[in-house]
Amino acid sequence: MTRYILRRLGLLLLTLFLTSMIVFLITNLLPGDVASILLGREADEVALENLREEMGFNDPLPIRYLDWLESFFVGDWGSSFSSQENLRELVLNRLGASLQLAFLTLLLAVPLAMLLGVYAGLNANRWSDNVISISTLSVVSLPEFVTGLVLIQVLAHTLNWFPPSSIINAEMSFFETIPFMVLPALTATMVLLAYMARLTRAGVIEELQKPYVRTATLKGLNKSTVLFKHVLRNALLPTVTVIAISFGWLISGLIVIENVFNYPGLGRLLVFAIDTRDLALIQAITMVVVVGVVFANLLADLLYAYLNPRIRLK
Amino acid sequence: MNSIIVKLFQKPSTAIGTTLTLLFLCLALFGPWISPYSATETSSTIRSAPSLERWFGTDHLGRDVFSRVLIGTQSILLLAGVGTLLAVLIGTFLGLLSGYWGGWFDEILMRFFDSLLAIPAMLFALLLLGVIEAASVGTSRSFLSNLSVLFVIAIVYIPIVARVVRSEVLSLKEKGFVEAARMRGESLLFILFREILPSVLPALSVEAALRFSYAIFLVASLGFLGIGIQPPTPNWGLMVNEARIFVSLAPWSLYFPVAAIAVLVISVNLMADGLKSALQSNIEILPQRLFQSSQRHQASSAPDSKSDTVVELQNLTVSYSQGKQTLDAVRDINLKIEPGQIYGLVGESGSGKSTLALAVMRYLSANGSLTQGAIYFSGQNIWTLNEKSLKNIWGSQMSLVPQNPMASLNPSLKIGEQMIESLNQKDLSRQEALDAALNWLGKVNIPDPVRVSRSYPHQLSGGMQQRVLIAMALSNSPKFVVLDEPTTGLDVTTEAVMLDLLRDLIREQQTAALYISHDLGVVSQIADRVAVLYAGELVEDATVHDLYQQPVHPYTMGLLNSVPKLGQSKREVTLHSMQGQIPSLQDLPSGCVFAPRCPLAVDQCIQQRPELELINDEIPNRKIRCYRWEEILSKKTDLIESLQTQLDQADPINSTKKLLEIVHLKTQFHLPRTLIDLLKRQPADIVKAVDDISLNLKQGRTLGLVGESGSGKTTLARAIAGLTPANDGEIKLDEDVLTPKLSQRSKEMLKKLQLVSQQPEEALNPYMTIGQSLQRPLQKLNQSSDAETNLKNLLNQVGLDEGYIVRLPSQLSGGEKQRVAIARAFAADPALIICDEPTSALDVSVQARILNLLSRLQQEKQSSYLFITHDLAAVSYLADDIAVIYLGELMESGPASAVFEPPYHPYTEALLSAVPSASQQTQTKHIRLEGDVPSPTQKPSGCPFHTRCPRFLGNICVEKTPPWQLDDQSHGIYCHIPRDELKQLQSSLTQTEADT
Repeated sequence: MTRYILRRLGLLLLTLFLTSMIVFLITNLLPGDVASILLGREADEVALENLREEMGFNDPLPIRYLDWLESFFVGDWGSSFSSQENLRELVLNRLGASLQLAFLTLLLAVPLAMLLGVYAGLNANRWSDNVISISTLSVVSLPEFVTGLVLIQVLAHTLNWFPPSSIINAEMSFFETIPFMVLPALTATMVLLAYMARLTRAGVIEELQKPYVRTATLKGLNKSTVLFKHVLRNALLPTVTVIAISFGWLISGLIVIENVFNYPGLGRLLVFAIDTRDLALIQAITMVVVVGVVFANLLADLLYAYLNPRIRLK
Repeated sequence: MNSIIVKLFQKPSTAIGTTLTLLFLCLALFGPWISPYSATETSSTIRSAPSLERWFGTDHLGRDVFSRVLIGTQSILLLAGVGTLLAVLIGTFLGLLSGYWGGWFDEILMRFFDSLLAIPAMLFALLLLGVIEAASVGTSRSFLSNLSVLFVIAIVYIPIVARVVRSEVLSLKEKGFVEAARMRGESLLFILFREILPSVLPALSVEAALRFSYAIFLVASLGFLGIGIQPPTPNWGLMVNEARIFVSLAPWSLYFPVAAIAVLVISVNLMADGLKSALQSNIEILPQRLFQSSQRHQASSAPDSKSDTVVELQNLTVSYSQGKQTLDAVRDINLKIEPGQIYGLVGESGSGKSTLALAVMRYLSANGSLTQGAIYFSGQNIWTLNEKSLKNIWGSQMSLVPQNPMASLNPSLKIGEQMIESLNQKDLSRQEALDAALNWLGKVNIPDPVRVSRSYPHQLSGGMQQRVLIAMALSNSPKFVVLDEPTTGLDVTTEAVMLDLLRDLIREQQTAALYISHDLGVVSQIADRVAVLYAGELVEDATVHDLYQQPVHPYTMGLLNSVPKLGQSKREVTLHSMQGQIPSLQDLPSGCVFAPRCPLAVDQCIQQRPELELINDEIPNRKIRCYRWEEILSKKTDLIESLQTQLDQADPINSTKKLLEIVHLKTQFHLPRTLIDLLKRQPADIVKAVDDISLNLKQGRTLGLVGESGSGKTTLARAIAGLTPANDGEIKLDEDVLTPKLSQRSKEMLKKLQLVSQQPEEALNPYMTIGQSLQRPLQKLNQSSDAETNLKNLLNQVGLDEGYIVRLPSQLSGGEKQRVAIARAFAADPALIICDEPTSALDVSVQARILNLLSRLQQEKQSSYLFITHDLAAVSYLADDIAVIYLGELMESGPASAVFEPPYHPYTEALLSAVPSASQQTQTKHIRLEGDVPSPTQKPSGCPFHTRCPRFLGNICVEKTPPWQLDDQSHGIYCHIPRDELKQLQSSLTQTEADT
């Protein structure tokens, strides 16, 4: 197990290193010049050159990369090109808001997806399974903004249950913000739910075919014992990994959803950064998300290994 | 291909999805021409509701929504389609290379892809587009942004496609047909694109369809966010975003593009889903249903046997429904099992033996049912019981020892827990149950029950796992136990130990047992009575003694004579080879099921089905299903003659020319080290798969290489073939030194050495006809002038006619595929052919034909074989010389006659003693090996066999490498015990055996 953890940690560092390089290269190698973006197209050459020198743009690429990486990890992210705000404060603040939303989504989606998936798996190829399968396939096919808009129409405009957009400000307490989070979280749940339920269903069907289920049944055990102690123990184990995989998926979805609901999270901030051509902000957001995704994967891998004796006791 | 299209339209949801996807494609193609207005044309009537003229109304600028949706189809499908296509092309290429090459290229590429995948797709798209937008200040951006969207889709999906392709390639490159291509020196491009790619296409097309739907999703979402896609492009996502603000005034301009996106993506997903299930398997496997035990029957008849009969099958027919068909898997079975009786049930694959076993336990898969007859267990009709009574019987009165022990234990529960579960029937406290469990683990000879009870299944060897399952099945002292091939997959030495154990325990408990096996030898070791099952019918039913001494049914005779007996050589006996193969359930013969293959069949046999007759008058309590049993019993010689074919009477070639010479060959694998190991300078764990083996093979002879699993025999074969390069030592073929790596061998070297591998199912490229598969080696290595004639000759030589040239492997049986694989090996006209377990995956009745074919071809072509097997009888039949290996080291080698006579190496002695033989039923004291084969990473010092050796001497075996004791007939043994002493010890044992 120690070996396994060490190996995972090594891979994590490698992935982080490579990913940061990709992000850095994308933002530095593509045509375009940060200085001219900052000063506008009419800026004169001397001013541009001074700015480049000042920001270190004339150093060789590897040096610039290492500088950038270092300042990222020590927390000195600089300030936004457009608004001059402290980037770290801005990004971490919005990250908190996004994480709240993500957490609420997982809280709703995971148990529901397991229930649906297990039920469909146990009734494979019957009508109830077909209904669940087709409807989850349909829901997974709808882009988040479509689902979001439909929910707004029905739950906000028609039924008036929830506010249609998430006008949250810093003075509001956590509990005051919850009603504003319900619709975006529901939207994200729809997308995740379908995906996770389908994977759970496949897992249950696969386990049911395995000979150990026959062994357990032919011991004369109760069906509930066979189901909970034998089948689900193994079928739900991979769900840990599924949740981690969904995490990246969830983030993609949240970027769009936050823009549908004007939710003040990282996704909203990212689109703002692109609109204002704020490269430093784009970089910072990307790096924060990547670190999050990589650690979520690590956590899932370790949890999976801990729960699975075949890996734990290797 | 056609069948896949048919399948796509069979399931309604898939048919709808595919049709709609095609419809959208048409709209994309013709949309701009048939749309009534242009996409940007504004009119004065803004936000007008749908009408006959404006089907979808107009938007806030007065543009026609219908036209915009229609024209937008093209842009979204074009962007998503071309982007996906790029990703698929590049991803496939990278995946092929990465999977096939492996090594550093693969490692680096995969790490790079991992890192790319750590950035969520949407974020990555926004990052790239954001940078591109920032860079292209003020320039005209429509074209550039379209291009960048394409680029983004490709970049984001390349890693995903490449991974799917790579994992397919990883499993494909180990297959026989790819290795055969490597062994004839095909180029990289040929192997990747002709041999591998066709088999990747099914999985690839599913992935491509999925990616396509996500790409549509992505393009729409980008449009909605207004990034990368600029107004006034009629992008559906962008239209949704623009229409949002006016939703209360002109909801139609929102609804129609939303609907378009939804319908398109759902259609593509439905199509991908259908494609996936259409390609996954040809047979629909219905899962076992936990909440529906096989359907109950109404009691109608009563058992007609004595009260103490444990199990009685009465006119039993079990059927499976497949689509609209009902197939009768076993028909009209009558059987009675008494207390303490072990009933053997023998049949080849497809005979219905497992169906029968599961029907007896009332555990058929969801589409199986009893269509006729009844099964009585202790006088109760088991198929009329309700669920509760059934549960009381399962486990406590009736139990199962399954095959495949690893899969039959729950991987995430400790052994102790699983044992206790079995015992929980009685009202025991947990401690009592645990004690009972430990007691039972001891009873099945598990050395350390406490430790084992705390282990998980994967921590035990296959033999130990099977012991646990035996303990579980017998721990409630059931009245009846079904043993479903419990030793299949275990090594010979473990199998022998397991059979002893089962026999003793079952006898001790007076349990009735049904022992199912494909192996007549195994059954003869344990059963009292044997029923022979063929194509779902019992053809013969007799005591073990009667059946083996005087088989009457031609099928039974064929089976017994198609297996070589230990010590029989190809020069003394020709194996009886049965024609044809077992009929499929779809077209069973109308007469006797065996008639099409029977050498004695007469008209009556073909027209009318014989009954299972009781022939009490001749032999008590014996049943036969054959019209000609009386003739067979009275003048058996006739039949034997009709079974005989010509013998291979030529003496073994006594050439002195060494064709193949292996000197101190070593093949090692390093297990991966972590960074910490590297820092600690800890050496990597090494698996010495082949450890310093020297051997030679003389021209025109057959060298048999024998060993159990893990002995390194296959690694040795692959090292010689160059497929797994050796690390050290020398391989000389016909005076030339062979380079370890296949890729460095010259064409001349390649031509001289060919391989026939174990798995006929994987030996041939499923997408090439038999003709194509054989043509290639003929052209490549034989440079034959008349390829056509050669091809026909080749097929004739392996007993196949010209009609096979145009067939695909899927139309061939396992035996036929192996014939083609043999023909392919001979196509190069090689000096040496390596046969790696060529018959182990085949049914008994087919094995004999392959062994006969190999020995006939050898005689005709004067070729030499290196024959690798775990089957001692097969090797004794075919080989002139034999080498025995254990844990990667040579134990004994020499001429076959010398190896099978004392003195033997103690390991060879144990192997020989473990072979279950159909002819003898002696109950003498056999040599049994205890314990498991040690892990190859922790190979014992001195003599590697010392940990299990029944003739272990003491320290000398542990400390010193044993000497090579060679006699003048080049028979050598690695052992510390002197030859003479060994001979004396072993001869006296054989003597006592003969006496009893």
